[in-house]
Amino acid sequence: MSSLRECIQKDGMTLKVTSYLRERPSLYARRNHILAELIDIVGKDDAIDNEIELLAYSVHSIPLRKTGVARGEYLLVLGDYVVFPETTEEIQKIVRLANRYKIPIIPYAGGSGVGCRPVFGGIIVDMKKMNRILEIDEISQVVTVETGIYICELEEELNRRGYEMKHLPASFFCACLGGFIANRSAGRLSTKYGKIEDMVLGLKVVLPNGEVLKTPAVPGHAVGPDLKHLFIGSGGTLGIVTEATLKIYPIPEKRIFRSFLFPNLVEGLEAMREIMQSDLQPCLARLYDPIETSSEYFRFSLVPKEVSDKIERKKGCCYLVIGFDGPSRIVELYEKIAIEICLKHKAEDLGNEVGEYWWNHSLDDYYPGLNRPTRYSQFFSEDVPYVYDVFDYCVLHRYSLKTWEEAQKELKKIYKNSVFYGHFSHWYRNGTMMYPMVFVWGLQDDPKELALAYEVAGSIVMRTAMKYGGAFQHHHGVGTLLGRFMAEQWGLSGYQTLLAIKKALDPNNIMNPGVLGFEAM
Amino acid sequence: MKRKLELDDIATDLWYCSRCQMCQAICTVHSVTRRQSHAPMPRVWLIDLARREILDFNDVAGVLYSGCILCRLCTEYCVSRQDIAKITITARADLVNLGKSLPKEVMEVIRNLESTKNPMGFSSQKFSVRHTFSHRDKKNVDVVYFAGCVNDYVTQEISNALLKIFDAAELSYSVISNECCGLPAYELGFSEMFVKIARNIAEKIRTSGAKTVVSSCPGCVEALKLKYKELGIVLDVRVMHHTEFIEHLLNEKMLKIRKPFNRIATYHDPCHLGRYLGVYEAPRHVLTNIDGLKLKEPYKNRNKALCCGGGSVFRLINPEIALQIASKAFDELARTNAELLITACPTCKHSFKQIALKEKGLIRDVKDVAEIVSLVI
Repeated sequence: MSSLRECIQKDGMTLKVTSYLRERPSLYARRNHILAELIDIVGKDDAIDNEIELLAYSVHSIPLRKTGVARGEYLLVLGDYVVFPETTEEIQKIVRLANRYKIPIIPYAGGSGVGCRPVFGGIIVDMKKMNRILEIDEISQVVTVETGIYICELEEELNRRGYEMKHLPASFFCACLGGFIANRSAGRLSTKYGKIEDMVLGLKVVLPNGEVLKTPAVPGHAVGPDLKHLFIGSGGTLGIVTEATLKIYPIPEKRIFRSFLFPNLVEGLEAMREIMQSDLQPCLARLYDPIETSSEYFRFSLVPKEVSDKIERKKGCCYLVIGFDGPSRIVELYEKIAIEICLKHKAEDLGNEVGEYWWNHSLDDYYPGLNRPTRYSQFFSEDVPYVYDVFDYCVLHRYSLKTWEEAQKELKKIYKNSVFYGHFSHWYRNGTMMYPMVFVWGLQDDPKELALAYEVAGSIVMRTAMKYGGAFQHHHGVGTLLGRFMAEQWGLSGYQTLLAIKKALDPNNIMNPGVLGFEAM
Repeated sequence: MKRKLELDDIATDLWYCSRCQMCQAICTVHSVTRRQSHAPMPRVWLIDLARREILDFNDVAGVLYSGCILCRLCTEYCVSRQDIAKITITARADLVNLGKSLPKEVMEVIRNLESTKNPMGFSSQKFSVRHTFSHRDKKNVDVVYFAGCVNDYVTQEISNALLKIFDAAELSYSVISNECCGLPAYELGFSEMFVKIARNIAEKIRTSGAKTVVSSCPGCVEALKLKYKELGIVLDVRVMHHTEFIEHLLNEKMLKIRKPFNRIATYHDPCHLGRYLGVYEAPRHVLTNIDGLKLKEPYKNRNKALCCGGGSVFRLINPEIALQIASKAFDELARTNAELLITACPTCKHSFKQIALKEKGLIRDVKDVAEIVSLVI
């Protein structure tokens, strides 16, 4: 046992330390026996119950004092075991064991922060040793790969062979394929190449009963509903995806980026809608609202000094970066048309160099460091209690500005010390993804008050999106925090359908309980 | 009374690194062990919990010595250039200063340093190479050659090759061998021991009267050139790695390459030579001066080169993880289809040598830059 106490009191906070087995004395008494069984499956080095190892799975890149906030209490929940399977067969055995003892399973990979902590404890199935690239089929341009691979590992290997997968989210250096599939992720090039659900052709899944399901890896079919979509976005609640077959593309002959400054958000949104509806297929498009465009961190990290100065002078302006890739002649033509559309909407053309600058620095603001402004530092200091999240949602074009302004106004009405700002970075012919970042500060350092503020702020954004027929989540997934909106989103019959599927596949509710709003343990 | 820790002075660094995961996948140790406790963010977070007395330092001792190889690859990928190697060494120093129990492998290295003056524990009578070196003028020499303990006991051929080069350049030199520079003590958190060793070495260098110290070990160069200075020990000499010195000899026409060397080779950048000392081009300049030698760059080179797994004394403490790291780096180098692997660090050479013998890829042999040069002069 480590020195980690049952109850930690530190820095004015109290953390209760618990786990699934600790809450159940009869199982806790058998913990060594269960560990021995897990060791039989994966080997001695790959089944661990050491508290320090487990603690590393309960951390999140947010301060300790806030880890319990979302549940309205300060609770540090540890997993009971972590196992590293290396084959699908080992996962089948682990799942069967979990069913026998009725212990939750938490599929885990990069731990980049989207619904992956063991919120009820249980067996953490760390997929990262399943990181083999099984086949690169250059004729069909597909790759079959295990899901514990970091996406940067996969992309690098493909690049070395002249290909790209083009899934380039901000979590590129710390998230794995399995997590992307579990949360319907989107990368920076999604506007042309789609989200992960558009990239996956086929999946291999270990179901909650330990059986294996394999969907055909084909670009299209008419053999009933596509079962792979049951697991993409399932948040690990319906099974563990162990392999995926994905589309790959040759590295394009040319990829360019170009930046513009619009006088206001309306012109920016209209220009982007026109570009998307003109079949120009930009690979990247990111429009920033006026608050984010003028924010300290944006101007520090994402644009060169002269553009930063220009933004300071042009109050209310909105920055757009747009990219095209493919054969040179097509790229040049599409870029030319896009420029024409942007100029028509009163944009100032900042040119390719500024666009390239953005692309080369587009992840810089994720690196905290000395004298680097953060997403909130201009509004308040880190010392004060606050709540924050990104509530990315998706609506049709006709509701994009309306939902944005309405949610912004509602939030301000309730919380004077709040800010709602962000960007629009995944575009479709018919609609767009809205990426509002919401901060509320000036709150009491009380977990219940913080939880309430989080609940209210989230509700304002999600309910505004749903009010106008939108989806309350676009690409971070639902996890445990947003499950409460699932019934509202799908309606009673829709959500009952999901519950029935969950019940049929996982009667013991062992797979990632509590995620997607499904029953907790 | 609140205890004073060295970590408290860099608490801001802990704060930054415990809320960012952007170096996770590239971390040398984590990328092979795949454990979260070895991933930089959770690892720093655990260290911070110990600093804040939520955990006892004893509990993080294992992670502190197995989770970081001090290769500094993470710093190269970090926009803020955070230094997790420094955080790790500082935490180890606090652990030692608090008198906590350390992993037995760490204690063995420290005992070896005390009793045999090398971390491996080789006996000086049995393996020392000092008698094979020709000592020319012991006073007023041009150069002092600081062999470094790995060259003393494991890779003597590198020292022999370099001394052949010195002879060819008609230098007067003396040799300091059978001594450790003290860096392993520093990196394991034993600062006092490091100071003691450093003072002893500094005295020997001063006595030699030389104006230049050359070492074949990048770790030794780092210690003599940078770490001693941090301790306030001024050597008043120029400290060079042998690749820099050979480049200097060639530039000054004190050394002439006379023969071709017809091989296809790849060059591995040692962490301490590259990421710590910024020496990337000198070895390449030396090698590209040799007729017939075709140099193929690995995909990951210079500041992004993979670590060999030796990493100071990491291999002595975590042999299994070190082997996995070496194997990954070797695979990367083998993908160049080179037949010869050249490096510039005895630890790297030793790490790769054992894998090359297993006949992975085309690489059948591992040599130091000095060995190649000694063959063509």
